Amino acid sequence: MTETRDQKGPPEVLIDPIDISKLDPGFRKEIQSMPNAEDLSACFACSTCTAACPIANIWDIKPHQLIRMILLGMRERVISSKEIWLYLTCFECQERCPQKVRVTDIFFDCKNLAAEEGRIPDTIIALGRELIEKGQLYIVTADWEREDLNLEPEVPGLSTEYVKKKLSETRTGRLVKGGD
Amino acid sequence: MTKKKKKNDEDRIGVFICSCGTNIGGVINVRKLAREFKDYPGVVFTTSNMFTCSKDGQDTIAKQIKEHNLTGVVIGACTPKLHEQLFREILEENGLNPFRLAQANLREHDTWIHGDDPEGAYKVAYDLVVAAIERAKKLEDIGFEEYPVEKSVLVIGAGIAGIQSALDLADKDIKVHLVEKYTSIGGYMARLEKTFPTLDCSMCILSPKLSAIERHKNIELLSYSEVLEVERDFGNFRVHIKKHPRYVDIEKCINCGACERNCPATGYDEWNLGLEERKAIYKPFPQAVPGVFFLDRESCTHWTDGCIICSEKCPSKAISYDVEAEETEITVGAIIAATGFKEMDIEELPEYGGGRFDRVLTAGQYGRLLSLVGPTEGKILMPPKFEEPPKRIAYINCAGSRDENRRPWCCNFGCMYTLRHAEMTHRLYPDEVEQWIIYHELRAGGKEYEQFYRRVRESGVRFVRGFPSDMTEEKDGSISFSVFDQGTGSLLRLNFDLVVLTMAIDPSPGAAHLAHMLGVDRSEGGFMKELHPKLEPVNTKSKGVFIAGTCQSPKDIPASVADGKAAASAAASHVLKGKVRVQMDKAVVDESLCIGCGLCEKVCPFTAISMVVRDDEKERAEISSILCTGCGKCQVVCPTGAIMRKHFTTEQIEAEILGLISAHRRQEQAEKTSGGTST
Repeated sequence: MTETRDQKGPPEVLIDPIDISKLDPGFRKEIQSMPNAEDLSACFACSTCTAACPIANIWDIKPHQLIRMILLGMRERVISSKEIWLYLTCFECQERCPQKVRVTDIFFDCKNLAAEEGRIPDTIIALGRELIEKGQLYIVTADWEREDLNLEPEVPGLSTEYVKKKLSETRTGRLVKGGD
Repeated sequence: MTKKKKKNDEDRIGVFICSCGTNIGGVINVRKLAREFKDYPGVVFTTSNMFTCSKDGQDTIAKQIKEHNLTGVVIGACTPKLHEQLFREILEENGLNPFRLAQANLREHDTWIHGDDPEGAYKVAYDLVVAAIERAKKLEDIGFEEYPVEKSVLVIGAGIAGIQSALDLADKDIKVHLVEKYTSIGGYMARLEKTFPTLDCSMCILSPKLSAIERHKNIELLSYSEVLEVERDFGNFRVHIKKHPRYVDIEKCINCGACERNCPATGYDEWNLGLEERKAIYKPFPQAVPGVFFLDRESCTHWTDGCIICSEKCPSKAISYDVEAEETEITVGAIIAATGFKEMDIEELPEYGGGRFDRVLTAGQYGRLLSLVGPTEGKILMPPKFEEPPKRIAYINCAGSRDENRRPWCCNFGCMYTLRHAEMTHRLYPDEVEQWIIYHELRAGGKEYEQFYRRVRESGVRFVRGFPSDMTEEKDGSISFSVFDQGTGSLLRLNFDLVVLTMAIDPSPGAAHLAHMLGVDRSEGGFMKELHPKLEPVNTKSKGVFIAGTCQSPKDIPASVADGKAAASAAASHVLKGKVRVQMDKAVVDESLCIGCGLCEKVCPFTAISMVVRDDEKERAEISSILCTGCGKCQVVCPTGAIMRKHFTTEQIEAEILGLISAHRRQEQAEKTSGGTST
């Protein structure tokens, strides 16, 4: 505890604290209204999600910190974080949460929120473009891949046109075109 | 040794060595050890056993006492704290005085600590058993004394613990005197609006008990009264009680409130924990028991300015100023102390703005704001004017608690208390008030408490793990502080319209003096000390004195009620027998040797010794066997050897020590003679 003296205004500190005025009190409810996030508030900060995460070591903001940030309303830090795009979707965090918080699903919600605001990393946009242009993610690039398995060179009945068309009508299409 | 030694052929000692499974037998060879005493002087029987405390072991002792007509029993086993009573009973059942038992503690004093050195442990075991044999030869028969005990109990403090004790005792047809310092009973629970985790109305569940106290034929309620003095009278207590004057006649008062409405004087409102002022004549809350008004002499101006407004306005002429305090004396068989707690003074926390910032309240005060009969009629309004509701509230847990510089203990109910405040506030103002709980560890360890905690989290309360720093008061009166939130890993600077401190808990102010009068020890922080924290939680070292509720340690309502019931049960079994049986293994005075110097009286920690003038007009020591615990301090300081602590006489202790020394020398000797051959 610091010495007490009658001072007005915040004390001088070497690191800038996050001021309460920068927090978005509605953010928690915003996330909570999205799919599978009803139990968000049940989090009691045990950080099991981080302990369970196979890649948490490379995260700057750990999974449990993201959840706590949502609860306190640090909207900007959560939506702009690279971590919500990095996670593996392995569901370890969600499986192990003792309070049944659907951690992975909540990160999906965060991604959706970021996407709605058009804040998607270029690599993700590139993936979308690939999908829309080719209609599939994994393309057979060499003849021998199928020949070695005694298969005919072309995938029989493969039609990507429908996928391309439908996908370009979705938000993915709009994002790739730079709209939305 | 100049003292006369008993001849060996008179002693018939039986030695029983216990293996205690592998506890003792796993380290030393108990059969070999038992055989060592075959030809030991005075020993007529020796054996070893797997478990001496088992039925088998008990039967062996019983059989040998009869067969060999034993004069003493030596048991080499565990600590006497565990089975001494059992072994004594076996002796008694078989016609031997129970005090003819000498127990050698081979487990705690030897094999448990010397397990890495079996040879050394064996030698120690031999020494200990020899010492016990030598002691057993000197042991004497010790009897019992019985004193009558009144079938009545004094309960001090009428909070929920004391109330529960009183009701339980009264239902057993035991006369109860219930003393309460405050003008009405109910204690802290009566101040609460709702109770966690069920949020049921506190007064709704308490007031039936308050009425029951008032109506029960076996309970005499002494409100606004204090215990002045407690004296031991063999099995009973003589208690002096002071009844402060209320200046309002309980029989005549019709509860119209005319006196309070017209009273011009005000005083500190202890019922609302200083949130507002009250009139000099008042009734703390509508359901108060006794349900009449009372005049506080401290704040009344009658004695300074001669004001008589209230008595003039009283339609039933119930108010009279010339009433004196009454002193009464009662005799009871047992006493239950249930004196409760108080919040730590907020001014002890200046760094949290305590006593400096208007908008910093204690959790107790906040609880009064939530009360429908409190100063704001259940509305949350900001001090000091109580006009505007706050938009953002912070609750700071462990304020002063778990702090080595303040109160190192946990207040036990603070976490739940804060959660209750947050949930009640949420229900009152679901969207208007943002609530933050600043905590470090949240302890919700009661039945359905965890579920309640989850419900509060789901109500949208923000939880920040960390304690605040740099608390400042802004120009608009709001409070800002910094806190590092461990959850997000970020430093926050937060601002609140109202800050509520969940204060550390102290025992009631009078607890220290009362504990001293009752002969009860106190533990950390001044809470009254139980005889054993797990197994004797409501008993104290003072026989016939019991403790219940938060005077023992901070606890919540369910635990206080359980305590109250436990203390009632313990007190009932003490008084219902009608007599108390005292083992006479205590200090006794040899009057021919006592010179009346009074040293023993000074050192006795239990006030068991008093100097009494005898027939020859000389003062000599007298020991109350019911108070004496046999600690032996008086025996040590007595310059003439007049005081003897029976069962631990100087002769017995010397015999034991000499036994130890001789056994040790004998083993050294044996080692020297055999040492040459084995190396």
